[in-house]
Amino acid sequence: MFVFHEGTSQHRMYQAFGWLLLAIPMIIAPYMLPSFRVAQLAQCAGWAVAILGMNIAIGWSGLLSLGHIAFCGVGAYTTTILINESGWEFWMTLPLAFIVCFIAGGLVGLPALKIKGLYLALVTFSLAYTFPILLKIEGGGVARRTGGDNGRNLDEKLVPTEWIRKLFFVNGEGTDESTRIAVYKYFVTVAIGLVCFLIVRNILKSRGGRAMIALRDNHIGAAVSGVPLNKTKVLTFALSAAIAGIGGSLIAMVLDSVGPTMFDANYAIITLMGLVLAGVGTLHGCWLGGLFVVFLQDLAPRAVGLVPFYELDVVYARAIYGVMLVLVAFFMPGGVVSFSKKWRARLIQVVPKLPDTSHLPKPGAAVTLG
Amino acid sequence: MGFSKKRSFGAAVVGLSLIAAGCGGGDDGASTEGTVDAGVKAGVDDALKATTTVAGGATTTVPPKPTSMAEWEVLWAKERDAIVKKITDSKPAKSADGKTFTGTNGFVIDLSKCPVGWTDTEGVSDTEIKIGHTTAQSGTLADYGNIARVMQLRAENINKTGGIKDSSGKSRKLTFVVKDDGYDATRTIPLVDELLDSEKVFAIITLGSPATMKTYDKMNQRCVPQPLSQTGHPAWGDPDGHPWTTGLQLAYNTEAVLWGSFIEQNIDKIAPNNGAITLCALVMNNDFGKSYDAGFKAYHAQSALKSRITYVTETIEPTAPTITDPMTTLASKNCTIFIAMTAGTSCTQSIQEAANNGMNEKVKYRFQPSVCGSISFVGKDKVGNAGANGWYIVQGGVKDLNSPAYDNDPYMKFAREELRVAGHDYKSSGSFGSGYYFAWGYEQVLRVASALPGGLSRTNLMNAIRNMDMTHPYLLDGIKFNMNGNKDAYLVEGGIYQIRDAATETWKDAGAVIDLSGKSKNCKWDQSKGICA
Repeated sequence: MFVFHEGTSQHRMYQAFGWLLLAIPMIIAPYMLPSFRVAQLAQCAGWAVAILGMNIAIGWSGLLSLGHIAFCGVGAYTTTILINESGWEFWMTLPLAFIVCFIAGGLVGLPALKIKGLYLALVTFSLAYTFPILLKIEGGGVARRTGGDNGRNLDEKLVPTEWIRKLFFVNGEGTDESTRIAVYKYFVTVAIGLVCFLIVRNILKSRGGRAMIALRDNHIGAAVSGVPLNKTKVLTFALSAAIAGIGGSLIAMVLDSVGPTMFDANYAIITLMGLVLAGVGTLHGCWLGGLFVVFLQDLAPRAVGLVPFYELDVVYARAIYGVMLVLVAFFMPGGVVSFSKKWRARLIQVVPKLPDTSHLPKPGAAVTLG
Repeated sequence: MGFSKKRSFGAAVVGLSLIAAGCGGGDDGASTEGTVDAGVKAGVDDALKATTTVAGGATTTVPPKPTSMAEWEVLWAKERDAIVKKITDSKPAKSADGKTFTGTNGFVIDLSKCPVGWTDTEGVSDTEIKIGHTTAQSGTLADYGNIARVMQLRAENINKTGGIKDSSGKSRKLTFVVKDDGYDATRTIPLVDELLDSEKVFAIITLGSPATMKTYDKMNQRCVPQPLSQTGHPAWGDPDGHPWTTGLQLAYNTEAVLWGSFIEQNIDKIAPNNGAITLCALVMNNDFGKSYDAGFKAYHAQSALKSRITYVTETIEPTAPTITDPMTTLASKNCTIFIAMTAGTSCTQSIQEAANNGMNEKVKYRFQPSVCGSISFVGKDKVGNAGANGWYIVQGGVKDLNSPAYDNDPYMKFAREELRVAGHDYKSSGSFGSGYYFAWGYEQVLRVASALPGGLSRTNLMNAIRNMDMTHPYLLDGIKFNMNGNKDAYLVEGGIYQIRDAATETWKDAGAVIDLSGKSKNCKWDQSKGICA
């Protein structure tokens, strides 16, 4: 058992060590793995941002929304259409995707003022269900712009510039162009993802963030304490939609394409599962959720070959997927994050710093009256 | 034949002028409609007028029909030799700097943009050919995964009997590396990356239009063959822009043109004295239904009888559990003709609905699309005894593995037996038949490419596909399986009008086989407009 006192240099060392433990594999992995795995990791980062958006609504504000996949899609399509039709660059589309999704989220958030809990889940799920259908509307050139059922490929492929090549691929002879692009996209998504995480973290620690959490824990109490319920709810919904939209833009960029099946009810469930399995209401959980979304689906068909003594048909891949989910839910109730926190608590104890009480009168000190 | 040529020329001129007219007006509504392929239209018209069994073809000779697999093998060997000779005589070659491959009949591949480190024979060793395949083995469309099953079964049996022989004397076994994408194109993309970068496969076969559309730019940039993709979208006929990608089956929009011609030819029977007709269509809101609808709209727009035909549509989502609502709406529209532009369960449902809502009596002609032809959709056990009686279909040129009509067909017998030995019931899935349809194609193009001078290579494979000319045992007699360099980029173009006879549970021919080989224009797909540019 290691004990660290918060605020001491050992504690700072411990924290730095923890971050290094996380950062080093994240930096090294893209150079070690085959390019398709790097591309999958980049996709994970995109989904992580999308799940972060969902988490703002579901995890921290208690607004049970199943429709965030649609905002993800709005972000992805905004980016795609701006690049393909208007010739924008990927970078420039992100702020607009944010704004469009913010407005869309705000509008959808209005019913959330009246509807609560499971009913809100139902209403928002219908959004996830209808979004792919809306993409195929022929009127007003919608289907033409979205590519309808086939979706669209992005015209601009994100390719590293010369100075980035020098920085990231010092001895680039060993890698081919597709690997370089995959690595570059990975760092771009992770970097944008980190920015989103920092923004959300700071918001959560701010007055608005505390209002959101108060809303979740006890909305009457929150109202009594002066939290403007309606405004907070709508803004929360809008912000979470906007972050989810950025996630969608990133996914479109990583995959170089968009399509209705990427943002349908199926993915609404898969992302929610990622969120729940990793840990609702935790920041780190979102990254893990991204990994779940991409890799559980990818690994299940491969796991078929691992069953001993019996040649299992690949049709049962979905069953294995289901078993994996049950196992995670069974052994890690509360998600992976709370599970790992529990185990960490057995090994490492961090003693919180005592609050600074110097400005308060010492207990027992003589109080002179008059 | 002079008459026929004049007609084709006239139709081509009319068609082209309409295409030009169509290109002029470019607003949102009209641009999705596309244009009708003048060659296809002319071919269909000729076929409907012609008395011979094969349309408009002075050079066409109907080959003697083999009666056993041994005879088939002999015929195929002969046909392969002829293709090899044709290609060898044309002296395909790479330029001295290795930047261009000049194939046969105007087929050229620009190799200058291929990635550094690209080789013509990646995925081919002295003993093995490794081909990647993404398909749906899980999810709602998992039945398509049976195509991969047949491919692997065929590969196994080809390998047992000596594998694929190369012109250098090597014999290679064929391996398909199959990856499950659950018909979710989001998952296809990383799987294709994996097949390219880690499995280092020779070629990749994709299933479904969305998956193929999302990967074909990459495949062509990487100079990796995407042969005989398992989808009927017209976009795969683009030898200039996408030389490495081809399809196999009849393109969906061509099928719609076949219907249009049928209607034009029969309109005076239905509505004499220049009477008007209402044509109703149930359109599935996916790539298949939309291509079909766009193909028909384009036909309608240029038809001389446009003013006499009112085109009414109702749309259904592919995921809709029932189609009662749109069918009831259509039943109220006094339809003269009904076309189901749907696939899967909706085939069966449209027949049942029409029987129940009175459309069977009121509607003069009822059409099913080729993809609904299988007995697994229109069998008595599905639609009831008289249900499908009198429905028309334009078969996509293919036979039906499940139908008793082909009990004596040597290739069907062979396929059913092969499945039985492997422990599969051929009746359990409509995709087994598709599996043989495609697997035969893969086998033959690989055999031809291997027999070429220089042996099996990526460029040889594409050149072989683009110059195929064989008799496919799964196609109806008279439908060709051919391409012609850059001029004809579709392998299967043709079909036959048939009518359902419920008593014998078969489709009876209602006219001659229409072979449109070489008549569809190449298609440079414009994603922003959703039409062939």
